[in-house]
Formats: sequence, structure tokens, C-alpha cells
Amino acid sequence: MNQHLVQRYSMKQRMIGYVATGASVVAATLMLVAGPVGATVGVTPSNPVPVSPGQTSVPITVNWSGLPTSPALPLGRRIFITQCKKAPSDPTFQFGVDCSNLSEITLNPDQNPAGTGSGQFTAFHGVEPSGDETWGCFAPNETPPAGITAIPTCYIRVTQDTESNIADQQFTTLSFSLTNAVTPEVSSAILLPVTAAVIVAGAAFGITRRRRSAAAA
Amino acid sequence: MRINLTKPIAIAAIGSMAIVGLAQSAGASAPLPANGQDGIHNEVVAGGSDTTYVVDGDISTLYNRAPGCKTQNSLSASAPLLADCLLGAAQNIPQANFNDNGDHDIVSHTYPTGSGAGIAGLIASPSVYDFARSSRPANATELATTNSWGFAKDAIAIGTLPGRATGSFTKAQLQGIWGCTITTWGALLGTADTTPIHPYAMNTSSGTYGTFQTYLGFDPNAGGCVSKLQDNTAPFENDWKPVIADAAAKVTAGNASFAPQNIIWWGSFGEFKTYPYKAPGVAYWSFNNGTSIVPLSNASVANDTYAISRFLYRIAPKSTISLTGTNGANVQISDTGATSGSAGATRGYIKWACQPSSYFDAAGANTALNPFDGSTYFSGISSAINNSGFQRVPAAQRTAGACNYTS
Repeated sequence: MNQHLVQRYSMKQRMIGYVATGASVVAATLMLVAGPVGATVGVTPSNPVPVSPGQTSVPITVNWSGLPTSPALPLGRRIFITQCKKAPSDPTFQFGVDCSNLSEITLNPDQNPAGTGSGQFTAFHGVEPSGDETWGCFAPNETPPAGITAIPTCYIRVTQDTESNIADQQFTTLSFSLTNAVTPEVSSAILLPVTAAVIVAGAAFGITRRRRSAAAA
Repeated sequence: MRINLTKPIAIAAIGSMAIVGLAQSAGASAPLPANGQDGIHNEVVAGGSDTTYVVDGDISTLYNRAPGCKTQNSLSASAPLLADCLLGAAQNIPQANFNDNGDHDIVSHTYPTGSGAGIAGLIASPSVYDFARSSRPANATELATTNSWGFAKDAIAIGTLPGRATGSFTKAQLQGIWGCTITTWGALLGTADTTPIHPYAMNTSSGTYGTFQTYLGFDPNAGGCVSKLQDNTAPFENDWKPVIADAAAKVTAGNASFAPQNIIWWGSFGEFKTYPYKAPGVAYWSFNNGTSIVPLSNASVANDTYAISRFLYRIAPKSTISLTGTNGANVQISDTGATSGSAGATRGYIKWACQPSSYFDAAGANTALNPFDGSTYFSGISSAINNSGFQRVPAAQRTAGACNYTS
């Protein structure tokens, strides 16, 4: 190869290297944000989970699949489930800060065979229960106590081996709806036209009747 | 600990500064003796618990890097010496910095020896440590000269290895296993299985041993059915690997009953779930309180429905720091104790690390924010505790700021 060919070859190699490196960085970033490809996590009942206004805890079922397996632990890997206030896509997300430590449960490896399983989780509704945090998970039309930030969309985080494992972490949203609450916007929207219609119909009936009476007289 | 020959000079200088300071500019700030500060960067040495080695190291790292005084940044033959606090008007940083690590003291942790050895080293004369790390409370004898500052909560996890389906245990069943009255899996599970249960022992200096001993009401190492390692020592706490290796060696030597599924041991819940390398494949059992089965979780540890919970402690001499005045849950610490030297530095650290959230304001007015991430140090300490698998002392169990205090 002459010098020109060598230069072109090395440029091509470099370009391939850049593309490969770029792809790796993007893939690694996606792994950190979205966890392993193909893995899923969900909750039952589905969102929004119905709650009554004073209800502080809500039993839900969390299921997951597609978490990576390990040849060293053929019978499964330990699972951690936690309720969080931020999505992993938030660049400031830190599990130790943004997830409720008190909400965390851990399940034995045999409950996660082949990277798939489900577990019962007690989600909190309202203020984060430790008493040290200033956030909580609320339904959209709920007013939080003073000093508490209401998070309308919280997250359930599932990971394995250890709670600090962000490579395998999976998230799903968790939101609430109030079951027996008065919802003024909807009521007004229905009641006002109905009331108006009754008034108009009543007035029309009255006028018609008066005219008929007058005609009869 | 460090014998600092410059201390008398510095104390005299600070004393002079206090007098001269009255005539100096209003911008000057000064160390707080009530926080154990003397303007000198003292070294604090802690030792003891394996369980709290990492978590207290992480909290200490936060403290060591926290804002403090403006320092002497050049070699000096007289006070203030290099890296000590500037004096008088030259000390023109916000007074709030003295509510963090004002003197830029350094808290360091020696390699774990076990809680008991740590406390023994603390109360020895001369003392080996400035404070002891402990995963058990100080006993009555130890409390004669020390106080216990519970700063986090943990539990004793009862674990088995892969191949053994998990279940639940009652206190009586655990007493039976380590007391050698329940010696087969069938006797434990109510089946005809005559396979032996092989409970293991633990290093007696360990607070994790001490906690379990207190719970059972007897020495868990004493039973004839309780295994030690092949060198006849009890394994060090919170690492299953030597136990697994020992059992495998016994199987190789011809005792097939030491198959992994027949081994049972105990240890720190926080350690095991944070460092799976130390507990590969281990599964934890639930607690049977007679009316319900309670899984091991942060919530069941917090409210003590899982029965074998415990605080993690710093244990310090009464002369170093003791509560005085009004104290309580989430109330800022009111204390008395050492005002200088390594004892003062110990007081400063223990007090700071037990302050409630109200002490660390988000505006950074009363205390400085962490200059590395902008968070409050209350949040940083919580994160360090959580990241080690533990939890802060629950609010209902706090007696001194964010800690549980025993005197």
C-alpha cells in the first residue's frame, strides 16, 4: 500500500472506531436509563391505582421479566423493589436519595428464577413514610400537607443482586386516583348545564301554559 | 489520636483572639468550643465493628470534606500552623461553617476487630480509640464510662444456602437450632426428614454475635451441634464465604450432611443485601410471631415486627460527649463535653452526625451545603446509611436528634 492508501485505510479504521465507540456509549447510556433490553416491569392493579383519600398504604403486585441471569447463581438473583419519586431518565436520579428507603422490600433469589417473577409490594400513598422526606405520591387532585411536594407520577423500581445495581434496574410508573372523592370540576360541568336546562324548560313550560290560559280565557 | 505539641500555643492564641476579637471587625468568625472546636485540625480514630465499618467510613468522609474554617495555607512556625484555622479578622468565612466541620478535623476508621474489641479499646487506659464502632449497645459495665449513640438501624438475618426452600422461624425454633434441641430439618419443619441441620458459630467479639446471643438468651457458639471452621475458630461475622468453603471441605472429607442446603447462619441484613459477594445466593427466612409471618424488609425492621432488629452505634466516653438540657426526637442536640483536642473533635463529629434535619437547612444559612453536590448533609448522611443497606433510626425511636441515645 502506498502512503495515500495507508492514510485512507487508517481514516476508515478511525471512522469505524468512532462509530463503534459512539454506539457503545449510546448503548451503555440506554442500559443505564432503561435497564437491560427486553426487560419489563409492571404493576397490578394498573395505573391509576384506586385509593381512598386517607389511605396510606396500597397492596400491589409487581411483576418483572427479562432481567439478566447469572451462571454463578443458577437458582436466581436477589430482587429489590422500591418506590421512587424520579424516573431513571432524570439525569439527577440517585436511588439512595430519590427512592424511599423505608418502602424497599427484598425477595429471595428463588423468587426470581430466570430473571422473571412477581412479588407483593406495599406502596405508600401520600407522604413518604420515614418522616424525614419532603415528598409524597398523591393523586392529581389531592392537596399535600404544607412543606410536602406532591409527586403525581411516582415510580416502582426493580433491580437485582443489590439495591445499588443500576445496570439491571427497571422502572414502571405508579399513579393514584381517588375512589370516593368529590370532584367539583366534573360535577359542575354536568350540574350547571342540567340546572340551566331545567330552568329554561321550566320557564318555557310556564310561558306556554300562561299563553294557553290566556287563549282559553 | 495525636499528641499535638502546638495545642497549648494554639489555645492561647485562640484565647487571645477571643479577647482581641471584640475590637476587631464584625466579619470575623471563630471556632465553637461547644462543637468541640479549638481551631486545630485534630485526628479522630475509631475502631471496632465490622458491620458499621463502611457506613461510618462513608459518613466520616462526608464530615472530613465538609466546609469549615479558613485555613492557614502556608508553612508557619507559630500558630496557626499549616491547615489549622486562621485567627481573628483573617477568619472571615460565614459562622455557619463552624456548624459543620469547623476545624477540618479528620475522622478515620481502623480495620474491623469486632464491636467488643472496639469498646474494650475505647475504655482501656490509655485508650486505643477516640470512639468505638459497635453493632450492639454498650452493656451496663461499659455504660459506666461511655454513652451509646445509635445512628442507624439493622436486623439479624437468618439465612440458608441455595437448595433449601425458605420458611419462617419462631424464637423458640431458633433457640432450638442453636441450643441443639432441634437438630434435623424434619424437626424444624414438622416432617420426617432426618437430615441434620448444621448451624454455624460466630466470632465472639462481634456485635452481630452479641445481638444474637442477647436475643437467644444463651451463647450460640456453645452447643455441641454448632460448627466452627476446620481450624476450630468461629468465622468472622457477615461473610458467608468461609462458611461455604468450610462446609464444602467437610463434604469433600466425607461428611455429606454438610451439603450447602443444610447450613444455617446469621448476620447483618444490611451487609448481606448490600454486598451479595459476601452472601452468594443466600436466602433469608421470615419471622413467625405466633400469629403472622413477617418477611424481612426495611419496614418490618423499622417497626420491630421482625423481631431481631438492632441499632448501630458510636460509643464515646461520657467525658467526650453527653446529653444535657432538653433533647428529644428531631430536637437539635444539647450536649456537654470536650472542647478541644481529639476528644473535642470526636464530640463535634458525633454531634453533627446525630443532628436532625432541622439543623441542616436547605438554604445553607445555618450549615453549609455539601459543596460537591449542593445537598444538605442530612440528606448525605441518610444516603450513606441507605446505600449501606441500613436505615436511619425511625422517628418514633429517636431520643437525641436523629439518634437513639443510651447513657
